[in-house]
Amino acid sequence: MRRLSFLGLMVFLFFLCTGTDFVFAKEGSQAVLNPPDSADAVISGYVKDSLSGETVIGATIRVRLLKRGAITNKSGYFALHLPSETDLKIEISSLGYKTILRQVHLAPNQKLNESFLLAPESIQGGEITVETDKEKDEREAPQVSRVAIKPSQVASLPKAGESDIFRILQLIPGVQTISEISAGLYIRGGSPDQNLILLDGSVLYNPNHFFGFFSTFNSDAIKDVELIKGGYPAEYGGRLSAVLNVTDKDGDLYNTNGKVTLGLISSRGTIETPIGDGAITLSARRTYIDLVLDATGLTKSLGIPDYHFYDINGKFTQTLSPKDKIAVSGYGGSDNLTFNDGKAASSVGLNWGNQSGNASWTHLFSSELFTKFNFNGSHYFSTLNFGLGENSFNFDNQIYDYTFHGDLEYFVGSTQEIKTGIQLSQYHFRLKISQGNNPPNSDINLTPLYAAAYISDEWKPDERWAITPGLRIDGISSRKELGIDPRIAVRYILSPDITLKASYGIYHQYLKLASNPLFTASDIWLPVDSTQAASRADQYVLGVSTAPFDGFTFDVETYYKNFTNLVELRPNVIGGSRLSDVFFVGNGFSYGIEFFLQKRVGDLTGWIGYTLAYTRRKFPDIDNGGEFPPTYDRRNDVNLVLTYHLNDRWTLGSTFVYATGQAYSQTTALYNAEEPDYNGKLIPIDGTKNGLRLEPYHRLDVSGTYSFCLFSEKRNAELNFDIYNVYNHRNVWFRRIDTSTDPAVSEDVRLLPILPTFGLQIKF
Amino acid sequence: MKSFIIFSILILSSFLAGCDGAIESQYTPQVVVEGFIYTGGGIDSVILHYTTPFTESYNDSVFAITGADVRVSDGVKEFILLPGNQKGRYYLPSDQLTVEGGKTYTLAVKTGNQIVTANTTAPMPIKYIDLDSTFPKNRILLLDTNNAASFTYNLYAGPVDQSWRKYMLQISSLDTIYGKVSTNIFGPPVDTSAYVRYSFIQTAPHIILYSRLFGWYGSNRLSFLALDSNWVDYKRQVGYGERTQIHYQSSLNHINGGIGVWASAAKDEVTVFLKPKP
Repeated sequence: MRRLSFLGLMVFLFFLCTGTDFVFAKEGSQAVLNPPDSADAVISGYVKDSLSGETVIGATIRVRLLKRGAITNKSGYFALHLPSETDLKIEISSLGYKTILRQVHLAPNQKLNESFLLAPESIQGGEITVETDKEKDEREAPQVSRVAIKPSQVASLPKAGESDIFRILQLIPGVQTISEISAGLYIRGGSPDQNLILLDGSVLYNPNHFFGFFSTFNSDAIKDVELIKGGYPAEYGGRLSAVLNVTDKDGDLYNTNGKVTLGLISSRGTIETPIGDGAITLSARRTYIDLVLDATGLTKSLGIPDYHFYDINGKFTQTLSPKDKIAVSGYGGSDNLTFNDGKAASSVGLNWGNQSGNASWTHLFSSELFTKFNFNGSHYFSTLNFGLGENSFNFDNQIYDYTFHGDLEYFVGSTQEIKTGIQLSQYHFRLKISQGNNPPNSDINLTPLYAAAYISDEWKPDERWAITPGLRIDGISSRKELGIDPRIAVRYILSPDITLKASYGIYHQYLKLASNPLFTASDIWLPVDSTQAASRADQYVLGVSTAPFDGFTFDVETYYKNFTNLVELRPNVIGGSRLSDVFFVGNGFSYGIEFFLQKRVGDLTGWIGYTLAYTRRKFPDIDNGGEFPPTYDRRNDVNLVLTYHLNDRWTLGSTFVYATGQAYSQTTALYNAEEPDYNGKLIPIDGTKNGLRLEPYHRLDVSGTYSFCLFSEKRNAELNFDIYNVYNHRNVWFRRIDTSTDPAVSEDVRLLPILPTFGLQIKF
Repeated sequence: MKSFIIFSILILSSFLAGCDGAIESQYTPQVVVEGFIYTGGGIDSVILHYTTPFTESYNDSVFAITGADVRVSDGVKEFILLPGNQKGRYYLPSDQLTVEGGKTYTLAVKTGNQIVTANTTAPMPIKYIDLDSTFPKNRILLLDTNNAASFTYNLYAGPVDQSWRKYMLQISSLDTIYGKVSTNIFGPPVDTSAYVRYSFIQTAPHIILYSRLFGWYGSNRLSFLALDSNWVDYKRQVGYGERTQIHYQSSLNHINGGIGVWASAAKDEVTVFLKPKP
């Protein structure tokens, strides 16, 4: 009862202190309300890379004397309230940069605004103590389940022919994949459609190339990747599980430079140059299997389809004044598969991709009031044509998403940071399935409006506690209901080496995906309607971050997620435009524990991750309403990632993956399905849904990167050698039933064998 | 260090907790029903057999169900089906019952301790519309094998009795002496060994006849079918091609106590002669 009263008092004091500079602290068994300190001055500004002028996301600004600090936001901006008339030493640091120290003495009510430049430094062989301080800052950040990846981390790891940020994310504990040729992210029991994937603020609906083998993100164009695996804050919404926030490079503000990478299956190039008071950056890549096969005549002689994918990223930034910045960015990517044989009336055309554009304006109303206004548009398309002209089967799926975001960050005082904002999205979903000129089997044309408002308050009553309550309210016009999503995250620094974190939140999802996980080229997204409600997840996360040894961090997180109104695609839907025609509806849950031992500095870096997880679904119309694991449920998942900086020229990389085999249904019987005048065919009948497991999945990849000088005095080139699946263990992709034999047999369809690849990267 | 040891023990415990057992499924014989009836027709054949264990060869005569009590009711009168010449086949003499559009027919099968029932409501009759302007008067269709894409005929039928009604074209090869129509692998799925091919199911009585729907040159019967929902679900279940990798879906099953199909359709037929263009 006494504890309850104390908790009640804490909550009371929290609301009392909100919006003021009053702080309270726990002294013994008493909660004490303290008057505001003399934090009447403010230091604020952008933290930038000294070589390129790029803003640095997640840099820490700290005043050790006061045990007070701030972290730069997605725009690289911070504001920190400090007492005036005091000599203070400010430390600005970020992993991969040299820490800088600034001595300041602020006058009463002074608002000092300036940019701080951090010089990059190699994290290999660096001073471990300094680096662990930076890691400590990250460890003590209030957000749970957050993983930040720098594109440089991707470079020295095995890449299976193409550098891909998703491949690295799949090695993080809690993130699973359905197969090695799928870039889909299955996070803590959630399917890929439950992840909000943002590229410079624009939603990407199908972030895959090559039927899911690669993601759409060109690692040369990316500045920062942030994955929040669960318990994500109120500023994000519309998805049940996780947020992947990818930020493209702004471009080099000082020098023109570029990079060309020649790979076995694709090449890519990036160029950045200063322009005006800003920069422009352009990146492009394309596969050339089709060109090689065409040139050698193999396309025609083998009768195989033409296939290629490409993508282009561009970004233009300008600083209009010390208070105003604008950025315009765009992405376009497409996969194309074509085959034509007019004589036999045979043709296949498959084309899918994304286009997105984003315009943003960042404005400082004052040094404590940071605002960002975004207008972005996203277009996902997927078209499939079998046959020619009137003899064809046509599938045409389009999503247009026009979204406005207005976000405000208010650095209230020395203890609070309030974030609030709105989102308005106009969607257009278009799905047409037809045969020739026949009336369409499906003709869906929906234009719902989504609106959301949120507020959250990061409140640090003392140096140990950070409490971030938040609320998001949203809804979609296609179904008259509001999602009210309260969220809270709490951090407590138990000791210098141990930080405890917890979060709880409700999450709603209004868009549902009909997709085949083995074939991601024709995803169909549909908004909720009067026949099916929005999906909902309740997420509970509890974690501890520690530093057991110098240079190592060790995180443990456990989670529980309860899902309602999940959907599964009905088999072979014909016609129907209501959600209930397309989907079964059911519930589910997942829980697990993740262990993450990481070493980020020194010559040997990497991590070991282990996840123990359980995921279950329950649908009245599936498997007689019994509980079943989805195919991606993995009981054990172990990932080992190592990078060894051998010397100035050689860097070696290695990844090893072990996972419980995916769930599958055992076929127990067959029946002969006859139709009038038809000789019938055997249809397999399965037992308990996903009751068995395929053999465990495991794979070892290695890589070597050699740096050298090419027509230059500095090392500007890298030769990369990869061996994918070193010990040639062909993992099982799925188990199929072959009814063409007598008796029918089950056979394992296996994945890739050993695959050596190489690539050359030249910087200029 | 102490906390690290605690965490290590936690990891080890988790790993051990991660060993869970598989759920083996056993074979249980189920009654499979296959019965299709047409508006204006009789009940020519209801086929009954048991499912086959996965590890055994399918043999119609081994798994056929003999001695079953098979009845059909039209809501007024109950009819008892007779065993046919082949094992597992049951029929009703043609003079006993003519299927009427709009009527519901209930099938009841009793074999041993198992009772299987299903209902179908027969669609109202349909007719081709304006076939003479669709096909040449002699009903001879020429296929230009160098330009198969130009082979296109729009077939219409009516009237529409229900807004949700679905339609399908069945093309039956009546002779095989004129050879096979070549079919490339890229295109809508077809069974290259079958004498019957089906169009995709359509949501309106307008279906395009194209060359891939023909398996053989020569006489072909084109049956325009208006389907009941059982037939549609069954087609969704069994797919279009030879081996579709579709597994049995209980959500599409409408046979109580068993699996299979008890479905009805209204149909109109026309016979054409397909020739390669010289």
